[in-house]
Amino acid sequence: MAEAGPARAEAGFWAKTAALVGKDLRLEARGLETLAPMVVFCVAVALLLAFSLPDPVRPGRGALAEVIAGFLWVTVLFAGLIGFARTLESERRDGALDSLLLAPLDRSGLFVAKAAANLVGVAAVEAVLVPLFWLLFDLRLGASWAALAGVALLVDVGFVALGTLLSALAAQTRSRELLLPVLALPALVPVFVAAVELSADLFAGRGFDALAASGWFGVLLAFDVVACAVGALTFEYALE
Amino acid sequence: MIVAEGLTVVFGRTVALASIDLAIPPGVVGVFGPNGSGKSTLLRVVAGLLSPRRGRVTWRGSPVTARAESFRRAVGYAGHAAGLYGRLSVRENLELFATLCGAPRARVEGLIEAVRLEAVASTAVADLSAGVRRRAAVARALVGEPELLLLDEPYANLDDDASEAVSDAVRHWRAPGRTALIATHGAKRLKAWADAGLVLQGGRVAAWGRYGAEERPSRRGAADG
Amino acid sequence: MGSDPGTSPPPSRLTWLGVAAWASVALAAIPVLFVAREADPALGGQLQRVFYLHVPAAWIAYLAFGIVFLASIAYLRTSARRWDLIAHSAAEVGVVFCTLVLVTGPIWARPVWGTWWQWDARLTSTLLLWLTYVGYLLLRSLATDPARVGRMAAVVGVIGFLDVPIVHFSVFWWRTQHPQGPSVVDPTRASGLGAPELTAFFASLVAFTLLFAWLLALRVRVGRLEDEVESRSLVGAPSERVPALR
Repeated sequence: MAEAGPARAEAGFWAKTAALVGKDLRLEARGLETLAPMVVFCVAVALLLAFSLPDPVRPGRGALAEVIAGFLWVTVLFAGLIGFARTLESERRDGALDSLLLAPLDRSGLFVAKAAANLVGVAAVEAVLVPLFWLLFDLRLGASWAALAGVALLVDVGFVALGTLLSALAAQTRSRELLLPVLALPALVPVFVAAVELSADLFAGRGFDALAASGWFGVLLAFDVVACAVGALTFEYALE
Repeated sequence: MIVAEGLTVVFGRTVALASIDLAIPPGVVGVFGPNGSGKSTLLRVVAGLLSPRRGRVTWRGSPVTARAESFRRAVGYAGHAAGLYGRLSVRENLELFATLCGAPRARVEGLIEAVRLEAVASTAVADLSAGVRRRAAVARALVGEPELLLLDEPYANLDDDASEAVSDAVRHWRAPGRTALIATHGAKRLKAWADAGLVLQGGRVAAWGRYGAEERPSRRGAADG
Repeated sequence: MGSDPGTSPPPSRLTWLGVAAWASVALAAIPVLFVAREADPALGGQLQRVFYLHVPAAWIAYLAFGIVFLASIAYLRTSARRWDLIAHSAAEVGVVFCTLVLVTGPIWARPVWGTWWQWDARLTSTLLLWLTYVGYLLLRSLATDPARVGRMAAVVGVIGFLDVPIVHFSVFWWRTQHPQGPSVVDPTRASGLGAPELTAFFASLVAFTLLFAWLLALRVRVGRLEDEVESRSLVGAPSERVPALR
């Protein structure tokens, strides 16, 4: 925000991207049009899933840890996809997309900004969901909270990057939101499997060291890198 | 100089622009014609937002495309829709696009004054009347001090005072070497001060000429190949 | 696009390719059905011959999706309609072959494994591959703006293919972590292919490759003709000059 200079003291890539993220967060804060439905949706799904479990739920023991982990990530995935479907909603109204497409910032900035805004949404959902699961399904994470947060971050980056990219494509079809899961779910399998395996280990009381040796972090990292790179490079083609 | 060669744009089964050849020198150019004559389409193509089916448009010698950052830096476009975020105020919108264009924030206040929006600068765009929104859209197009300005119906829903404000803002922006295409179906407001006029009819050029000593357009063929 | 394809006769090269493809299919049937020896009953006996259909089809499906990937990148870089057409055509043909893989697999598996489906890594990732490219075709058919569909589909063509190895790894590890599931017997290794079987396999592979090439070329040709029809019906005479002055 260096003012006054008659020569253009131009804001850099990150400052412009941050301005876009700030804009999305401000819009969301004014309406909660995306976040509120996402959160309520994931609470409702968590409750429904609980009906499919045997009565005394003790996820710490055996295979149930995996089921609970699956529930957690399925819920995050679905809630996320609901939110991503609205990625470009504020742009579509009033033709702001044209203005954005003609703004002189590197087009990858549009991707980074949209993905970052979606990341905030997914993180918010997880912040509600994990305590809820702790309450409903007797999760015993002990000292593994930090490890779970780390896993979630790695999962979210790839999830959000791919979801943001594909949502821009799905938005331009006649079926709109319906096509997003069709495109996204098969592609998201690696993230999902890794997330479930890693967090099931945590729920079952295995420590972080066991996770680090498992190779799932490699899968997550590879996915994150590919999804972010392809997203940054091709998002503009998805928009135009 | 904007040069169009064999420019053809097709939507579904309708031909919006039919093989247009044109060479538009710098200056303020009015684009006239009835609804559906291809004015908006022409502006979108020149803005690089729409790829023609055939032919091409160049600006200062290179093909227009919204893909190129250097071209985006040079163009200011206000289309049919406002192109603003409805839930943000006029000022927030302009500040956002000023940041994106790398323009100093001081320019935002100057533009708000220029199009006389001081009273509503803090109001959300969605709550404004259509005419006020038009003016905000024009201000947004001007915020990056573009070399190529494209305004689609900037006078729609404006009373005389507001129209004058828009015209003033464009005249203030006008400088040697800069080009503006202003599409409007009411030629009256522009003819007084524009440098040239282009009349479209059914996707073809019906008339093209510079306003000068002899006034009015309608003679002189387009730069044919 | 050709200068005046409307008057040209059907291209003979395409016809010959078709003849060669079907002839090689007929020829390959001989070693597949008669030369290759009957497999161990534990591997399905006569039914094991479906292997000569199954594996080449899988290879061709991978080849087709590889072509989608490369053509998609080429299209994003050049915007040349040709690449988009190739990517679209390869995806359609690839889905056909991939479907063949998914259908022939269970037919063999039912009597041999005692179950239609196993959550084995290779099966699961093939199913996911199929889903990905069906999604690609859905996107193409549902896109609202025909001018943009090529670029949109190309994005999916790129991400879909890059995702393949990661999907495969993840599913593979997922399964190896669950050793309770019976592991899939690899028919290639277990049956100990001898010279007759290898002959049958490669004859089949050649036939499938030619068949694929012919189908791809045919589909591209159809796409070209569709383009031609569309552009003719839209803008009356192709290059009409506008007089431009009144």
